[in-house]
Amino acid sequence: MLGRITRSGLLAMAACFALCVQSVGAMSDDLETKAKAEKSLVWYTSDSVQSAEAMAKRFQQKYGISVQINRKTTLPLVEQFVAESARGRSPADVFTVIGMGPMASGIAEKKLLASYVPRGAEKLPAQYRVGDTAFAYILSPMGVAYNTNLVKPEEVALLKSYKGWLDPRFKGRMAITAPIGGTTGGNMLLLQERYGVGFIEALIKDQKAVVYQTVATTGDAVISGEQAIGLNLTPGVALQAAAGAPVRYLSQDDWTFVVPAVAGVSANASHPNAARLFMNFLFTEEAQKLHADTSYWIPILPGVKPSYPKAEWLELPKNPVTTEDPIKFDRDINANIGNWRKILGW
Amino acid sequence: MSKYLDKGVLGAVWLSLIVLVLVPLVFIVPAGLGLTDGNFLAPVVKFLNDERLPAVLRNTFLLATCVTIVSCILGVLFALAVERTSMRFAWLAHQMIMVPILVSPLVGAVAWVTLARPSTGFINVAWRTLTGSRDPLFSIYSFAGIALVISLHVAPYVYINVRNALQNIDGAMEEAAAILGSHTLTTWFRITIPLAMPAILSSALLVFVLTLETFSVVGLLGGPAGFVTLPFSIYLAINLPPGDWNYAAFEGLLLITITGLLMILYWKVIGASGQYAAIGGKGFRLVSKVGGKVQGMLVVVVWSYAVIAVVLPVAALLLQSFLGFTTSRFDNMIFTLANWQRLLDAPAFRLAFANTMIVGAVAATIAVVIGLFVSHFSIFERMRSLEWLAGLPLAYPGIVLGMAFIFTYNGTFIYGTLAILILAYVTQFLPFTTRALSAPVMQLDKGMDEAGKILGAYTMRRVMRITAPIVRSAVFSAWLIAFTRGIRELNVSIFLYTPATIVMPVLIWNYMEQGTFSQAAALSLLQLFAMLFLVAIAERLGRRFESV
Repeated sequence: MLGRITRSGLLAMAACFALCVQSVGAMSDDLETKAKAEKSLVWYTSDSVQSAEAMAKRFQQKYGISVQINRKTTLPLVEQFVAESARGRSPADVFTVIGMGPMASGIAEKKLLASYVPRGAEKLPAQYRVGDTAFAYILSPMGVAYNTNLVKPEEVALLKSYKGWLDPRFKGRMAITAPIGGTTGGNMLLLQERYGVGFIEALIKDQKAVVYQTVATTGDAVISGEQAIGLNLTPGVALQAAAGAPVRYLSQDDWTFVVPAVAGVSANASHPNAARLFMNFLFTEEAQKLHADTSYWIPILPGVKPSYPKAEWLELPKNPVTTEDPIKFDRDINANIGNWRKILGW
Repeated sequence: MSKYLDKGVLGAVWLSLIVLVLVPLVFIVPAGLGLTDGNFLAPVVKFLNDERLPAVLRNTFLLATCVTIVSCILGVLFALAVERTSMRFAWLAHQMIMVPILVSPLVGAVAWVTLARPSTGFINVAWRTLTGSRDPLFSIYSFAGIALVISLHVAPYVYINVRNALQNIDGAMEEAAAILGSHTLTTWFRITIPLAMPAILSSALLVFVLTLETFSVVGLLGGPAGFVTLPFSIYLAINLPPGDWNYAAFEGLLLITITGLLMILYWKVIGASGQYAAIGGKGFRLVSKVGGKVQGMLVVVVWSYAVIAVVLPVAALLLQSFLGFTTSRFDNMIFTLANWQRLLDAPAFRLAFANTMIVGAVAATIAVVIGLFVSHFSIFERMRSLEWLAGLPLAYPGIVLGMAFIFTYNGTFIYGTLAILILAYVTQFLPFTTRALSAPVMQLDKGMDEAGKILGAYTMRRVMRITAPIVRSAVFSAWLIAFTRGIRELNVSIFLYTPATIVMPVLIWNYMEQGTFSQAAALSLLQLFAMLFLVAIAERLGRRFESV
């Protein structure tokens, strides 16, 4: 079927390849030049604050383009972006939220993101992209933090399974983050789907888990020793552990809900080239590693090996699960939130 | 020409009040009734079917009632201690009592979390160590904790009003009672407090309204306590998925209606107190001041308050700002300068500091200018409706005003700029600047303004050349009140800020939400010290104004 490869053919192929490389390089150089001319960009993000700041700083060091961060939790950020875009222009150039749902439903439906496939994101599976507009770039696992001064090693083993959370030894010693976003709400939904609503009721009513409003306040309660165990948490507490806090983070062996951070270029970006360059940057090995090392999340690009500084104890989830239908998943969270509020007592 | 200019100025004042005070209200009503998305009355139906409604309303009113009672008792005791006893360092006690008014309640709540978490708060750790008890002395995550933090913050409002009243009460009756052998406490309960009752009642109403509006303290402490009030419910309606702005708008309308009715009552009480003062007049100052056991008890109350409301929270914030991570175990503590370094290096901090000063100063200046013209027209031209309109925002809870400004200005050219924050701040400041200026303007001799008018000076010239220079001290005080409120404003700013227009209180809130508590503590301290520094400078300048 295939013809014999001649020397002239080989030379022609090499020339074509060189041209392609040159044109990609030229495009890249062209984008970088245009981006640098724009000087700055605005990044709306729900990402981990430490990572967002580190990424912005590194990007500025690398390209001389300053990044202004607007950091809020997902829902208020989506509402701000949608409202601003609907009635005029949003200052956002790059828009990032946690969870595929908001991107796949409201943002994509309203065509608020431009088509742009960042270099490095071309081969992402369908569940981690919304057409050619939004791409997952990092994964956050949802698990448990515990205070090493207050939890015994044999109790740690119990925490590695969800059923273990209901052990009477943990009664009155646990905090749980309220399901206010795609991460915490999604984890709560999976718990309910797999173990029934009675599981959540047992956590609150029998185990007397105290409800905190955000992942940060729950984590702080565990670090300070106010609570021995914190449920429904991302691994951000590992940063405090690296600073000497008596806290550890673990994932459950049964399954671990992982939530992607998803980014896209705003359709009305004032700095479109800087935004595209930033999107490309998110999918570089350098950025993936930097993000993972400042958040203790999981890089989405295979082959990137984070060093997770001062957290050699940290184990990656054995059985990560994610949602196949983000729009339905978000709808289900919204449908259940009223009932959860009733159970949580607010 | 002068006639047209006068009409132009009056028209500009009316227009500015309508734009600032009425237009946002007009925009929030359709949303609250469900007209914006075609679901007419859907928010009302949802509200009436909300199972949490009775608990939310009960919590809201119970909290406001408790805070009002506690802060009124404290405020009256402070005023009696400073004005009716010969306590030493009364000037310092006065300054300490006033400090909480300078900081946002959120900062107080942040500090009190460190002090009184049930298991690891410093106070509870000390309590357990000293007594061997397993139970905490006091949990900040409780109804009592929330009520304490708000009471400590609002008690100075009662103090300042009652103290003013005590300074103006004729001392002859108290002196007569003392000569006739009445015990100090009997005199206070039978004569002094009844005479100050209009001021106490108006303060009570003001504190009740301020507590009804508070959301940041309940937002921070209410989660673990399972305690939700109406303003916090508004915040949750917006921030919990799926995010229901129309429902939040309806709850906001309900809150405005409640606070509006209470403010009408407040104005009636204020009016009554004014009439009362006019009849009573001011006699001679009370010369002899109380000492002995009564003074001793009041001194303990005042300095205990200073320790609980100022010293302990500031110490807690200071310690937290140098900690590598949150802990109350001294053997676990790692001290670092990194939090301060990160804060001072953060571009967001420098931006927030500059924005806070610009927005606060510009908004305070505009609010004072409008307040001056409103006072002029209201008193010299008998246009009382202007003063009423300028006072209306006192009934607007900050969280509702922020929401109303989003509904009104989203999509316009001012959205996302400092201008929208300035407009919202001016709306909030107007009742304070107008009230602070109308009293001294009322005391002016109308003849001077009449003379200016006869000589052909138009309104702008008369206000700026005659009225303003005479009441310059009050102008300065009004500006200062507005400016300090601006520096700690959170409720409105949290809705309207963008990355480019972030202000310091929002940055503190964000640090709290993101879990960088030590940076939040460092910034809270900087905010407090900046306020104290500015107030000190302002007081010096104020004295210079008075002496000119």
